[in-house]
Amino acid sequence: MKGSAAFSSRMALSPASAWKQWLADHGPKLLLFARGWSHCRQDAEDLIQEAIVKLWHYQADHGHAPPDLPLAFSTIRFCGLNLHRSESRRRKREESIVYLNDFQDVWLDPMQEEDEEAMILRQAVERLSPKLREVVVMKTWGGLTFAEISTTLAISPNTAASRYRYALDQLAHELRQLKEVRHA
Amino acid sequence: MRDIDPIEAALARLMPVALSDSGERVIHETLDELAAGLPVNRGQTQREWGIGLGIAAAAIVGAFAAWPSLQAPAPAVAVPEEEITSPIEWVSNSDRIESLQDEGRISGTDGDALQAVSVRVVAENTLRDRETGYTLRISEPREELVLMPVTSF
Repeated sequence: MKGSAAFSSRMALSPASAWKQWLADHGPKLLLFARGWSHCRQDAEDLIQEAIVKLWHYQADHGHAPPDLPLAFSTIRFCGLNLHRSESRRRKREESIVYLNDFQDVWLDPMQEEDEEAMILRQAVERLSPKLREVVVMKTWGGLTFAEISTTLAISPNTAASRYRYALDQLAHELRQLKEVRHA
Repeated sequence: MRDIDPIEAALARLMPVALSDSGERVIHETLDELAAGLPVNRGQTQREWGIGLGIAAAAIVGAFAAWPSLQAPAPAVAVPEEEITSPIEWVSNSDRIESLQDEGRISGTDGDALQAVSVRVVAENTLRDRETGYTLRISEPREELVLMPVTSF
């Protein structure tokens, strides 16, 4: 009911306004997902922009209504795959360039959760393998079901669920290990 | 129902970073540009038709004169078949007037009295797949407001 009310109120807006509202609602989780496919925040935002252009055209048959999240995730993933293909070609040309790390460039907001556990967990999420991380992002922050994740990633729901479970185990293990090291 | 894993609870407390102001601005500009390419929403322009109605009025005036016969659906007008290389063959199209409603008299921009008539038209296109022989009929109902000059009172 809540979702349909939000949908109805969005449809009362002009298409551009409805999309801006949709972006305000979902921008952070899309950005987090896009980070898995890009080197820095700016690249991730470029990826979202590219995905939004594609989504806009996809949604032409639906009166240019904002898309649902599984489609948005899947489009960002598609754009990310394309980016990686061109990036790997570019990397071969630029192997000698050393990129400086941007220490302000974080995936999850450090202002929201200041404790040590949160800090370790943020870093552990960033270190997850892409396959595990995308499932965790879609499930935890995207609120997608395993069925929706399986459609988005073209895998079975069981695989999505086991990747999620494996990622949680890995995060828990890493959290325990890092805590032990710090408190030793 | 399974218990929430402590890691899940800890993850849920973390919040994704918001888009940067510049990133959000660029995406908003993109959305505005995309929206500018859209056809104008009919709902918003229904009252601004005036000019474009001339051609439609010419077709509808004739139909309006024959009011009684409009109560029954008019037969579809067959369109001569043209040579088409497409696998889809255009069989016919027609504009069927479903209803007319007198909207009263209004004043035009130059002060002339105009008779407003609301017309519900259904455009029907019939297409046929040359290969399978399947026929497809597409109906597009639309509302038109026809303005006719009043020459006698």
